[in-house]
Amino acid sequence: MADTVLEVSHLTVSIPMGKEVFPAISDVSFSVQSGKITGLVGESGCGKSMTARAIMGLLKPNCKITEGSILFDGKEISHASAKERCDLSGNQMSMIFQEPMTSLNPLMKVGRQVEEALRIHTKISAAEAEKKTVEIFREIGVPDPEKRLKAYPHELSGGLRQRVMIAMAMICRPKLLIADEPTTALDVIVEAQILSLMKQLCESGTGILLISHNPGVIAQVCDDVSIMYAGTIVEQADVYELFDHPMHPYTQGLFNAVHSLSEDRGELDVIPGTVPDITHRPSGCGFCTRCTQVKQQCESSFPVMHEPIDSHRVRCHLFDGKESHEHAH
Amino acid sequence: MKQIVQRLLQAVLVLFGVALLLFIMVRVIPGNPVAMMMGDHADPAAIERISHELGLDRPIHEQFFIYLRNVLRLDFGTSITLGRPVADLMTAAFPNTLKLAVCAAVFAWVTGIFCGIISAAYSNSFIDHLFMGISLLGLSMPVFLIAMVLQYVFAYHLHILPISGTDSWKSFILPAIALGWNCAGSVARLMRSSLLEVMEEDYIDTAYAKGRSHAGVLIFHALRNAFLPVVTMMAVQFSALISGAVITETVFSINGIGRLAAAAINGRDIPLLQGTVLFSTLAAVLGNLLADWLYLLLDPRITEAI
Ligand SMILES: Nc1ncnc2c1ncn2[C@@H]1O[C@H](COP(=O)(O)OP(=O)(O)O)[C@@H](O)[C@H]1O
Ligand code: SF4
Ligand SMILES: [Mg+2]
Repeated sequence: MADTVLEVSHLTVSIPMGKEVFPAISDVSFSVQSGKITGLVGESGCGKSMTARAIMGLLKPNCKITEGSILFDGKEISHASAKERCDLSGNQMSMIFQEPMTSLNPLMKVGRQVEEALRIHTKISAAEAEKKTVEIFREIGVPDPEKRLKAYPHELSGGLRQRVMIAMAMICRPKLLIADEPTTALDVIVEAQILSLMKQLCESGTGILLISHNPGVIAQVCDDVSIMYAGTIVEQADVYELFDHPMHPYTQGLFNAVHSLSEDRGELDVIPGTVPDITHRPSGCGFCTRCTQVKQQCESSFPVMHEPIDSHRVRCHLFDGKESHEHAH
Repeated sequence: MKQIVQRLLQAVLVLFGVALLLFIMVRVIPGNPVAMMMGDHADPAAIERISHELGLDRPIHEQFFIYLRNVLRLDFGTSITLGRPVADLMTAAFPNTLKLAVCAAVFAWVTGIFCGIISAAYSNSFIDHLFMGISLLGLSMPVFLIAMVLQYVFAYHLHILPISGTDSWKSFILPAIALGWNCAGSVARLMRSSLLEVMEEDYIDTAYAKGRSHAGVLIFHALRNAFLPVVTMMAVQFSALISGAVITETVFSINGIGRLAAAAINGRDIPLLQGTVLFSTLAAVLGNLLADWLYLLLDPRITEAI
């Protein structure tokens, strides 16, 4: 059994708006094992980035963690001080973002930006740092690394910029890498390359949290998957189990959209409707406004997490009273 | 490279255009400009003589070439009101204007940048509201009012600084503050808004995710990016300062370009007016070139476009 690098339990992040306080994410629990990739999937606006930011301590000032815990390597970090964050970030845990263009400082050579993490966290000479940067560029497949070191972000393609971001995140060999939609801004071929790079990185022991709105991306590389909708985890299982037996109506809808697209290249069979804004979420099941199997209690009562099959959890009233024997509550 | 040549050409064109405009203006003003210049009771013979001296009795194209040649030689003729060559007057006045401009710029930029950064770092705090309130006051208060308040408080009342003149470096403190006040206000506001905008950028999150502290993010990532628009503003401000501050120089009796310009307008002194206006144009053009060049130096993305 691999070590658990990250254990998120019952995490709730709230945003005050006007006189009310709205939970942007609530009761989010999942874990990331070292050497494995955990996927977090959901349509845009579901709270995936919020979850990632909460873990990294990068929440905007109006967002507050109001409940739950984040254990990193066994340590509670949900309310870590700025100093503790500085020691952890870029060193033991790091993050790459969706937009590789805007995520790099436009006025700084990429080599310097990659070295920076090393220079912050280790006492290393400039020459040594540059050598390590060349090494990691080579490792993650940046062609002509000595020359690329001296390039500015705008001189590189999107794919290369994302590789630079990965190099930057990985240079201190972190235990946890959070990748928030790392391939969304890239074309399919580059996406495949970046995903296989992720796979390669996790084999060296890093645990990865891979966030995407695209179940296809998740299916390719993840070991465990959590499906997120309207700020909560609605389904959770290992990748084979989940794709073989999606239980939650939202998961089923999400997968159908991908399948219909790849099979007959016809109309995208998307779930009708949109993700409710955080101020307009139903008090019951978040999905009740779009669910085809909605029942009477769905609108008023918030479904609890059930475990109908071992290690396969689902948050839906359809599974009320269908716990697997060992895990009955 | 192409862009640089283009910019230089533009600069030359602007200078030529202003020179041409000055030339035309003097000639299309109805009536004899010399007569106007000398007032109602002037001796016709004297008007004749000065018109001749200024070359106003020659064919127009000839006048223009002589004018252009003289301008290129920095020979603007003799000031009518002050009786000395315009070039000499301006050479004597320029060091004072330059000193005043440098002092005003240093005051304005140091305080503007400092207040802007502090305001952004503690945005919406008491100190932010205080600084922004003062800067708004700086922007909306006329220079002569600031000048007179400063004179009253520091020279007349407290006796710690000279009330006017150019005798020592101390004499430049009050005029520099009066003149720089406006610039400081606009620099502070731009610095603040630019920094707040930059702090919202994705690469700032990247820097935090790398383990930079607040101060580290500010120093290594945010400030340089936030400076870009401020630098342009500073270059333009400096060219405005250097072309002479009419009011400040007048209030503090500083013999500078601004006062020459004021004298030229009051006395309808055409040669002096031509000299001072062309000088301000040159300062503005150089200021803009300087801004372009600084941007080139600071922003690698621009080099690409050239
Ligand atoms: N700083 C913020 N203030 C208010 N609302 C926010 C803020 N950040 C995100 N949100 C809202 O929270 C919800 C989740 O956002 P996000 O985590 O970015 O979704 P995802 O990454 O899944 O697309 C969205 O409805 C978004 O509008
Ligand atoms: S709880 Fe009800 S509304 Fe929600 S997904 Fe299940 S069936 Fe649909
Ligand atoms: Mg997102």
